[in-house]
Amino acid sequence: MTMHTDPVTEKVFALERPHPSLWRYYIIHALLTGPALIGTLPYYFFRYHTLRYRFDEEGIHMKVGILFRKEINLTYARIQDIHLKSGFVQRWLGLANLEIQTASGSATAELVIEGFKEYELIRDFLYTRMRGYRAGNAGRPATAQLAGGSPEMISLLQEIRDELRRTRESLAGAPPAQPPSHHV
Amino acid sequence: MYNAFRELCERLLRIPPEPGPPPGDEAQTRIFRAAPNYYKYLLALWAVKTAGAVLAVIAFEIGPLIGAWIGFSRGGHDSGWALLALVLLGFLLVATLVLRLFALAVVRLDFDKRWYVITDRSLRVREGVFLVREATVTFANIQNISISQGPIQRALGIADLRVDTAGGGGAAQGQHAMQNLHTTWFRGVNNASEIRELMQKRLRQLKDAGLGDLEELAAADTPTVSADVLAALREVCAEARALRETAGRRTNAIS
Repeated sequence: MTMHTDPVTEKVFALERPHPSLWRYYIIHALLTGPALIGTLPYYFFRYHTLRYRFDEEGIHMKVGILFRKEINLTYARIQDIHLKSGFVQRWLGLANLEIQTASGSATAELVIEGFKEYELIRDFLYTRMRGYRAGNAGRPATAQLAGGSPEMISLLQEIRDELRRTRESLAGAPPAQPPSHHV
Repeated sequence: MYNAFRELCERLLRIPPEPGPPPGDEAQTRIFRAAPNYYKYLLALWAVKTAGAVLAVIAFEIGPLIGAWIGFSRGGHDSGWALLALVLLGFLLVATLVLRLFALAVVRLDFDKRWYVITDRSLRVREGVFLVREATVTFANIQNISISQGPIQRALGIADLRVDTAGGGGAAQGQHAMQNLHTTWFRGVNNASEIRELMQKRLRQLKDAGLGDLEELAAADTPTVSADVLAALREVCAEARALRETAGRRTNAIS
């Protein structure tokens, strides 16, 4: 695991539990449901305490739930769209939801990353690993460099040419070498 | 007046500033905004809604107003009740008007807080006042781009540009058809075809766009060699031939 030395990757890989602000946000959210609070508050309580994320080399893994458990695994290369959404209460708490979409049939997000203050960092991290970022990146500069012609390549070729020329001149100019084995 | 409102909203609602482009080639990044006519379009929609709301309030109040009128004409104890009814009805109307005025300011703010960013390999669309949404989509994932325009929009010279990615068939079942995450809207732009062409130009450079195969990309990547390299190679070739010929003559002379 010494592959990634880049600080952004290390920071994102270190994320696991949501920020305590998420619990505050959940309380506000539960209060807004009115009398249904009796049901929603415990739900949010357990959700907050069981919510776990894991970012690794391949993808995002999310686990949540105590009675009904849910686990979502998603590969970076399959990410299609990244949506950053935030209501004003979330913005007050410094939070935002990152909704990750793949090409599957649902109109809603496949995975929601919530409760991290580093949402911009996570978004940029995911962006550099999502589908379509590398293709656009790797394909173009390589051809551009070849088309421009590396000066090193040209000089090398010229060197070979000079070398060959000198060989020919020495062959043509010098008296014919008499290999000793010829007269045996 | 509006500026004060905007600043208050920016502070109270913590509306983030202009979105930064996704990391990448900054030089190719272009930022589009909604056209000024889009504001007029939103105003027209607002006017229709306001007229509807005021008419509804008036329709609701006609009955009680007639009742209050009868109460006044009777006089005595009834006129007191009639006055109370009048005050309540007046309050209802004023509240409606104030709410519509607030909606007008929000319309303006919503128009101001729109950014459509196009970079070399992705697009980012930011919209919203209370709920701020920022969508990031790479060109490689775009399935189709469509432009739609209604009669009022046509008169104003604006259009909505819609970008779809794969999936998202279940949009209609969702509680908000507007919030299908697989579609991204460039609302109220007056240069929709320019944006479309820009995106298509950048899309064309990607062989694996949509759900195309990634293998195609490698196959299509035929490197082009510059004239300098070719000239040098030709010289080397000529030199090698000359060398072979010389060597051939020498060996002939020896034998």
